[in-house]
Amino acid sequence: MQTSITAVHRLMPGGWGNIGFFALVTMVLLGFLAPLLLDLSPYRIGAELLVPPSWNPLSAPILGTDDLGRDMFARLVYGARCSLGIGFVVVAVSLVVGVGLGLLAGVYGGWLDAVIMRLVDLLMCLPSILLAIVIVAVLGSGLVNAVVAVTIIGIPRFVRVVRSVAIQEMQKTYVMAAFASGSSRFRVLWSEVLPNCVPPVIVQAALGFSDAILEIAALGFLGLGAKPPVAEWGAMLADARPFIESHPLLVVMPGVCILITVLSFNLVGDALRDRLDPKLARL
Amino acid sequence: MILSVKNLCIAIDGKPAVRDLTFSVAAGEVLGVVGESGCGKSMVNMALMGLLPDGVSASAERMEACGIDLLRARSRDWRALRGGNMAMIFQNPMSALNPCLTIERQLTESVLHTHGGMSRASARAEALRLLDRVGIAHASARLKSYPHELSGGMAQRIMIAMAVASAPQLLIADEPTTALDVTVQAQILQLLEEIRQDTGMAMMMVSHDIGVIEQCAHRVQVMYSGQIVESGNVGEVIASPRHPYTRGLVAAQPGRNGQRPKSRLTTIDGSVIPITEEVEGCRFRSRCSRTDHHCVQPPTMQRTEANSHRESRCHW
Amino acid sequence: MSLVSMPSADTNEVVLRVENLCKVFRLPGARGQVFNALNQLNLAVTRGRTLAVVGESGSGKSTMAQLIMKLQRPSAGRVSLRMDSGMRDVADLPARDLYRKVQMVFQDPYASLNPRQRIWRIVSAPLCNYENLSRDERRQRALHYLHQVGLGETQLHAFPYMLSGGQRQRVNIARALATNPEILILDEPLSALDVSVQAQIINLLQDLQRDLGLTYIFISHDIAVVRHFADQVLVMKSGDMVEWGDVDQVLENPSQAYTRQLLGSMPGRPRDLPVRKELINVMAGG
Repeated sequence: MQTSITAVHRLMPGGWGNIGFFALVTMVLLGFLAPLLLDLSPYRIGAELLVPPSWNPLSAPILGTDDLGRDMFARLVYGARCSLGIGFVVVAVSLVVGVGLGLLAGVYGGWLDAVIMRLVDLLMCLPSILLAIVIVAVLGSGLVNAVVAVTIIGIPRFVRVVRSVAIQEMQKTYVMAAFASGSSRFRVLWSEVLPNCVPPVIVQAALGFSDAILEIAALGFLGLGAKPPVAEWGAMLADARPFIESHPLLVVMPGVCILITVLSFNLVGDALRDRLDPKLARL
Repeated sequence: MILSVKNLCIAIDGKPAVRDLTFSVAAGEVLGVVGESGCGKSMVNMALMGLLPDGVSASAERMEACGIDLLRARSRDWRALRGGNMAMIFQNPMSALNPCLTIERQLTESVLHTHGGMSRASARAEALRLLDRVGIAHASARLKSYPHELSGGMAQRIMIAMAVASAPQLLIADEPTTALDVTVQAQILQLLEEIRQDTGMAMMMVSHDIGVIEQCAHRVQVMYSGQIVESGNVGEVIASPRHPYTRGLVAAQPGRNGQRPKSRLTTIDGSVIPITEEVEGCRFRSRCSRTDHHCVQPPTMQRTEANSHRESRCHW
Repeated sequence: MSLVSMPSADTNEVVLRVENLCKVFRLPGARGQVFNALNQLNLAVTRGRTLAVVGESGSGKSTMAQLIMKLQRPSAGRVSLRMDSGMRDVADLPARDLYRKVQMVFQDPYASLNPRQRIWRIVSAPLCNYENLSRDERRQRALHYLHQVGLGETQLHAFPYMLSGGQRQRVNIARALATNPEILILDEPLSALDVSVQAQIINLLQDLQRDLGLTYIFISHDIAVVRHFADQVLVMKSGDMVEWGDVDQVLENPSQAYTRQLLGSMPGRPRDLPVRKELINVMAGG
């Protein structure tokens, strides 16, 4: 028991980050457990349209229904699942690709570094949402293509962070010691440099999560991401736009969900940065 | 007495670290402080300058410098004291200088701090005089330099110039030559000695290097794990150390006591007890080769000879 | 008499030779300006002995070490090493063979250990470049080398920050021993350590030399340590060789003015001060 408590304690980012951490845990539990435990049907079109929320957990619909009579609570829960799932895929793929490219650039240097970094500069000099629109326009709209676009946008942040850490690491005496004991460049990359990239990458991953969710929502809002009837927060926002004056809660609720999730990830990311960076300096 | 301290205790997060330090420095005297890393010598300097970091607190029965009671000093008094009667130089002169400002800017700053109403031009003239005093050639050209254009020795000379700008009565030198080459170290020690003879200021020279202390100090106090374990005249203490720790420290230096080349050096077994750790009895007991039942009692500083000023924290 | 016993048969066998070694750096910014880090260095190192390299910062002593270790490319000249087949140019040797023979201990015991690796992993890392080892084998071998430097099981699973400065330097030495080298380049291994710890490491290095027949190239700025520890000494100044010879000869009867200045700068008893003052003034003037 003692060990599990300390394990949880070590996971917690501390300070304001704890609030974000709990909000995220709640969000994940809701998104992934609620559909299993409750009978939720986000796609069933009901007869009663635009029912106001009952705010009572015992009488459905808790959060009312939308313009097609679909249960808002169910749609928001499925939206959480969609956003978090997409965020995870986006971050995982862009992290692996970005860390790989960053390590190659930082450890090998030379022309490889030049090529990788110019590509990254190219990606970064365009506004990210514009770039996503271009990519989606080329690949065709749809959730999968939106994910591909957001993933590509997510790569540069990892490349830059990892490259700068790798360049610093390459100056360290223990890297020289590794070379002096016959290690190849790849071995140095793998066993000396990579482990030291972990803390900043974790921080970037948390922040990347929130950016990915925002961008997917933005693309959904623009009609370039999730297509109806998929329950996705951004698309829900867009669908509810005509009712913003008569039924503002239809817009507010997915908006608040996006806000809470993004804010939580940012809180966690900032707290992790505070916690991991001084540790890096102290060790 | 320029500096007089009685029973100074410093605690880190409430845990005692430096214990019952009693010492004094007379005008024109150089007190050497020897100790290994982690013995608390830097913390004592910080306490004397009122620069202890958060979470570290000092208490004492008496702590007076240049006639001012440091225990009652307010932040205004501290500021006057630091730029006036007391000055400090550090181990790494490069990091103590602001890399973005010219030497002129930084040096005239210290001059103006001392002489409030001085004009820019006369502050500059004073800065030139100070650079000349610390042996920097082509002083007017050097004023325009930035710290990165200087060698380590030159930077330390400039730190000394800034420190002596206010003609302090006490200079605290915290490992001032540790980062420098031996030949430069010799020059800096020489310079400090000359300035001391000219101005009659007192110095507290902190170093881990017994050779440095031996060369420039009159009296020495040896610190171990937050306590003074031995004090006295430099020559006597190093020639015939009384405390087992001092004895070990002196013997561990190659080339002392006529050791034969390639022979085994005497070492002190074990490692330093963390400064905040509580120990029953003598703090050196676990590493000492001569222990008996007396060592379970906390030892006090005792005169080693009836009519001398030597003291040792050991009953042997 | 606890003098180190010398292997009698091949006392004078040269294991490492440096000929006309030069290293020139192009200065950044200024076009065509160069900096001579090392100038025409000639040197021979004898088996089982200690060669001390003395000089101030910028004298080229670390550059020399890195050139021997092939961590930098020389601008001119060559380094040759005694292999089973005779003297071989280091430039033609595969890195694997070179690093089996020559290893290096770095100055800063804090910076030279990766903070995120456990000690067993650090010590056994060199082995993995030569053999395929399981985790258990790696730990076994690491423990063997830790025992050689006076550490033990307690340190095996520690992280570097848990160790004291002296223990870290021992780990550095253990790592260097892991490929069973014949030559150890010690780049200021004592300068970051406290005096009492310094003495422990000197004793350890002397013991290892006696037990394993190691040859040392010992880079230092501390003349007292050199006098105690080395057989031969090379004095360097701004990339140039100043003096090279047996320790007693060079340090007792220096033939060069710079060596005398260096000796005069050693801190110590004030009775030598008049002489020292004169030397210091000579230096300050020059």
